[in-house]
Amino acid sequence: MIELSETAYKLNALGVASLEGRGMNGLTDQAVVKRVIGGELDAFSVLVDRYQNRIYSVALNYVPNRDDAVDVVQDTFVKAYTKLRTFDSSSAFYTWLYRIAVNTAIDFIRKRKARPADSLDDDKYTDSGFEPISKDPSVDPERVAVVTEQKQALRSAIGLLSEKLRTAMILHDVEGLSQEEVAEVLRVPVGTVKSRVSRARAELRYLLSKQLGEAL
Amino acid sequence: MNCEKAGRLISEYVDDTLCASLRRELENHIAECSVCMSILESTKRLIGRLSSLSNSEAQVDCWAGVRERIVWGQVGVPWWRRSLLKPVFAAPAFAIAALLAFLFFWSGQTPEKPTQVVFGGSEYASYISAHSRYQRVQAFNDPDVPIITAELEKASLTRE
Repeated sequence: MIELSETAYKLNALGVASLEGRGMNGLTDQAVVKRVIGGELDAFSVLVDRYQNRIYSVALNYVPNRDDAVDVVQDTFVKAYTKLRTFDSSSAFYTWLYRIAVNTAIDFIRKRKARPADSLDDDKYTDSGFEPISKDPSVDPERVAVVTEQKQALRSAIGLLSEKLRTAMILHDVEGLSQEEVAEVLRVPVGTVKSRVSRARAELRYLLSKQLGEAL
Repeated sequence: MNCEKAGRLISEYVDDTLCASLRRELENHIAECSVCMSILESTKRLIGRLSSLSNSEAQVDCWAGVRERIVWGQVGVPWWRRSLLKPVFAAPAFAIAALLAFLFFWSGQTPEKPTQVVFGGSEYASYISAHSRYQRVQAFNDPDVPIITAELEKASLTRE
């Protein structure tokens, strides 16, 4: 029996034709995984479409270069496809995918031997494609410049954190995952996540106060 | 509660994961301590800025690239089967297989039946002369030598 999402049940209750004939967008992640394991390669596109933007967002916190981030996203999904048979369906697919994404991004950085902190003058931080410029005439350009500088300082400081603290902070404070979700992604106790996030925040406050020369 | 303990609890207070009693205790301390109040406010601002780093608006379309890598990269195929299709392994393997096939068919050919030697002919003379002292070991092991010797003796008797 194929599991359907809540949306699919509602649509069926309204008499809408079964989603089976209209595609797999209403299926749960576990149901799609079953289909992919059964040999339907194109079913994997459903999972890619669902999570590629979130994985891309995570990747951009590790590799600010867009092309590199796309490479990380593709590597993540290819690895996920390879290891799909090892996925434990009792856990959430996206936390499993996040774990692969984080490890892939870290491996990518190690291979590229990227410096942990980049200069604020680095071109990739001033790339207009990375920081979209507002065309709204009511937006104060000076204010935008200040915010941009603060973001650059923040990213630079995050890059100075240790790998464990940086990952916990990115997943919890930047990407918005709960402490329980971060614990599941990193396979550590919730208390460890709390501790890492707390230490990361304290270190960031200290680093930013030194960089910006002002209390945060 | 002192400032050291308060400093450790501020992060959890902002995340609203403190139990009720600790939260009250911390709030009472912060109300009277400007340093801890400053740390609390800066932590809240920091978390707000961190959340703004999220690239939630960033969009990408990776399926085509992922699919191509899965299909043409033979993802999911055992490593040994992938290796067989690589030229660096396939070419030598083919060469070895061709050599083995050649040797098999060549060794399987039946040897030509030796033609009957006309005794006394120059062929034997040259054969015997070829068995010089440098080749006596080979002649000693040559299975034709007894036949040749017997023929020689027979010929010598016949001439007589």
